[in-house]
Amino acid sequence: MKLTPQDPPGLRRWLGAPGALLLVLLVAAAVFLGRELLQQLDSLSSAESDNVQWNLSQAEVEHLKLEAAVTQAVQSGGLGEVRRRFDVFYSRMATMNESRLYAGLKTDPEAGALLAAVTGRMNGYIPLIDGPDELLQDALPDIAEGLSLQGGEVRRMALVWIRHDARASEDRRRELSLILIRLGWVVVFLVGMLGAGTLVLWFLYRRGRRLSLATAEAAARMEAMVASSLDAILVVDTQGRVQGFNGAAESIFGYTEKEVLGQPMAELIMPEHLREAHKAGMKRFLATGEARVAGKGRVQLEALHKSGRVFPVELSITPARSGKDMVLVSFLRDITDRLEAEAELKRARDDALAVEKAKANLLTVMSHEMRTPLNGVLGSIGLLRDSGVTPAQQRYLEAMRVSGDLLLSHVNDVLELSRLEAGAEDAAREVFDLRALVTGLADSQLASAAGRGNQLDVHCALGASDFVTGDPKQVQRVLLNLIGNALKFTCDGAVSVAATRQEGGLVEFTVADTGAAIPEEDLERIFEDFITLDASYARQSEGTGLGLAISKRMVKSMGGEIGAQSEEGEGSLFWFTLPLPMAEPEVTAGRPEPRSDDGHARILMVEDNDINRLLLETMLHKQGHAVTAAPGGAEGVEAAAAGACDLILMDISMPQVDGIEALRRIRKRGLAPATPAVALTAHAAAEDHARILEAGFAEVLTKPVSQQDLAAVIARQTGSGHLHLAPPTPLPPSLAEVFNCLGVQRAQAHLSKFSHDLKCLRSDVQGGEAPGEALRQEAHRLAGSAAILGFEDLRTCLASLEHAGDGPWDPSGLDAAWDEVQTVIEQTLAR
Amino acid sequence: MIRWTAVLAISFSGLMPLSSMASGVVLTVEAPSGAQVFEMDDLRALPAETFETETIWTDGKQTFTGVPLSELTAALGIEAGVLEAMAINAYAVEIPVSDAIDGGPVIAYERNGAEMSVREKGPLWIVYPYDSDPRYRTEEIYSRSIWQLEKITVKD
Repeated sequence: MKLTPQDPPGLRRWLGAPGALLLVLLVAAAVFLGRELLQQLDSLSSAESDNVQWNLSQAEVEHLKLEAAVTQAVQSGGLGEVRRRFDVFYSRMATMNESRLYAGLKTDPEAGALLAAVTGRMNGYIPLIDGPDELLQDALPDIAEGLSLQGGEVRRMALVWIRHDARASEDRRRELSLILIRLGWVVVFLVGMLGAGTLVLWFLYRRGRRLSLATAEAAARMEAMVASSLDAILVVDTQGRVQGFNGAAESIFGYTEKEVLGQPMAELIMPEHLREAHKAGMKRFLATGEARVAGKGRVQLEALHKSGRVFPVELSITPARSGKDMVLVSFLRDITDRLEAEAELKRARDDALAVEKAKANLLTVMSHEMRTPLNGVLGSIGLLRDSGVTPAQQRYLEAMRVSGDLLLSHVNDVLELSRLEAGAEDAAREVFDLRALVTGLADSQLASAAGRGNQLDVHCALGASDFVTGDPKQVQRVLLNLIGNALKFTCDGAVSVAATRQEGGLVEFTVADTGAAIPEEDLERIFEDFITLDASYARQSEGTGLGLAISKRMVKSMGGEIGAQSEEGEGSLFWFTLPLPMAEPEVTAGRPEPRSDDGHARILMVEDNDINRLLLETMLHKQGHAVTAAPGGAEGVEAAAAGACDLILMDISMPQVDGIEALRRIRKRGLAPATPAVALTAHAAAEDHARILEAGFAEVLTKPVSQQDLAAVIARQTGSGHLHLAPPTPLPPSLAEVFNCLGVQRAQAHLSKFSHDLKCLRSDVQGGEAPGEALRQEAHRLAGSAAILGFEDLRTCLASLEHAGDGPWDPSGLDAAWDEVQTVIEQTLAR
Repeated sequence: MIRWTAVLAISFSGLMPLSSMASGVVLTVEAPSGAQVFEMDDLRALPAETFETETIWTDGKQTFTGVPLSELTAALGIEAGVLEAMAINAYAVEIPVSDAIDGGPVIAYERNGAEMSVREKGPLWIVYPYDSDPRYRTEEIYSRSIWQLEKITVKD
């Protein structure tokens, strides 16, 4: 709190310039009048006047004495006395003429004339007085007569003077009294001013008292605040000496206030390793005023307890002025407990995350590990079935196979989800024909729809162009999932699929059915992992509940949205929107251009799995590269030592020396310093990718690896090699793969046989009666081939034939799929 | 005729003081121990002092020469008491002996380099150095400045 004493404006004006001016004037007047008074008093005390009146009367007396002496001399002689008296009177007259005391007398017209007359007459007597006795004796009677006349004049002169003198003293008195009166007024004013000043002083005193009381109160409040603060409050001067130490500080640091006041703060409560920095900081602050800790809000540091224990504190320092000096006020808080609690929470969170991750990892690993034995089981079931078993055993085997297939699809779902979760793959950006994709997909589902008595129709409203840029595989996967679901949950109804172009490059896909509605409260939940709504649903769907979760992740990874609506009695509507901007159709879409025809690279390939190694080797040879294959990490290192290479392809998970360690050794020994290394891994998780890239691999290739993947990687990393697999016109990718791997002749033979077998199958089912066991087995075999060749629609139809019930089977779907496939096969064989 | 009278008057006025001085005593000092008389030569034989001052009875600066009162009292062995001074016109005033100090009053016998006639307040005039000290410009001092002095009576 800050108290600022402020004079009321009136008071200030009072004490301002006019008041001061008045005071100065009054004092000046008093001084002036006092001086004048002193002068007057001085003239009184230094008595310029001899006793003039006495002199005048004395002149009359001396005149009388002269007269008497003359009269005496006329009668009985005594001229000496006459002369003596004459001299005395004469000297009196001379004084009157000469002295300035009698200036007034001379200037008075009447007195002046009288004095002049007397003086003149006396001067006239001088020759007689100074002359011989006889002459004087003779002149005495005349002199006596003159003197007797003159006596009246002398008296008259005295009277005039007395009158004049009275008037003069009257004037002087009046002047004096005037000065005194003025002085009196000045004094009255001064006393008035004094009174006013006293009033002002009294007023100021009262204000001062009030302010000091307020200040004292504020100080007391502040004292209470400081004392009751839970935070330690320290006041330190610029020398680093403690000036204030409150109760909380005592309990936090273990010192009493008495112990620390005036002591150097740093020595007491600062751990040794911070003291130097503190001293430097203080010095800098004093020199430049630049503060790093002070005034910068809360800072975490360490402090020292009296017992020597170092503990964490949070503090804020504020520079403040205390009088003339600068002080630093610090608020400190012991945050040991808080930091412990924070650490505890963090630990708990990390543990929980780790557990969660371990669970997810376990699930992924388990799924991964289950797939191989499951394949073994399924393969064995197939072999067992062909080895002549009883019909009953055949049924059991069939049940095992169906269960196994289901289990495999679950495992695949989990792996797919894990792969998506890891975010390892970016959505591809290619130009494709969206209308063809949607209609083709719907067509492939016609058989399935018919199987449940459903009608399936498609509407595409894509605007000017059917071509868009995006990831066709993922779009297809999501759409297939939704259509599959709709068909699964609808019986004898209708499923309608629509793709509609919207504003801003978005395309909205909807899949509406007339099947069972989904309860409102479940609409959000169905997109979560492992959600199946109820037992019957689960039975119907035979799913893991991951389909929608996978779809949702895929849509999100493509930057879109997905949702569902449902209405009891009307069915459900699933929709998703994706950014699929319109594009011009590209003729050579997304294929890396070969750099040169004869460019080939020397490639060191390390892979512990024999089959994989053989396959990769074959692929690389086919692309014209020189390959050195090593069956393990250690062998890979030796191979790198044995000869130079342009690229290293390194499997990551290998027994003993894994890929990361092998690369580390190669790099450490400087064997292939500039050679790029590409990791091969089945680990799809993003964190694995990060770990691998950190280890020095240029990029990561996820297994299984296709020819195209390999070629692209080699082109990227070495700038050499070209694709031998690009046929003149596009083939379905799987078909191309088959041609590449088997060679043209074997592939063509295979295709011809497949074509022939399928024609036989079709003629067998033309009758429309229920398919027999042999037919089903044939359908199963051909479905496998269709899958390898990439004829997905055909495979679906064959699969539906394989699992068809005992009722009549509608072959129309098969016919449609076959028509399509037949064209492709014929074209391929014609080359 | 008139001119002659004037010349005569002037010559007489110069002669008279000289004749009276030559005739004898100018100052009588009466002390309890006895009376002592002084002729002008006696006074001139005593140490003399000259100073310049204005007086309230004259016009302009005046130069006075005479016997310091302190010299006289010292010569007469007077150390305390009062001196009662008396003039020809019977004016009398008491002067404390304490006034007789160095730099104090003199019994002047010359004014402006000439002896003083009775008409010129002579032949002796007790003069204080009024200009030298404001204390000498008071009515009391003025009353002690007796002119036409002829007798001093020493009292206890």
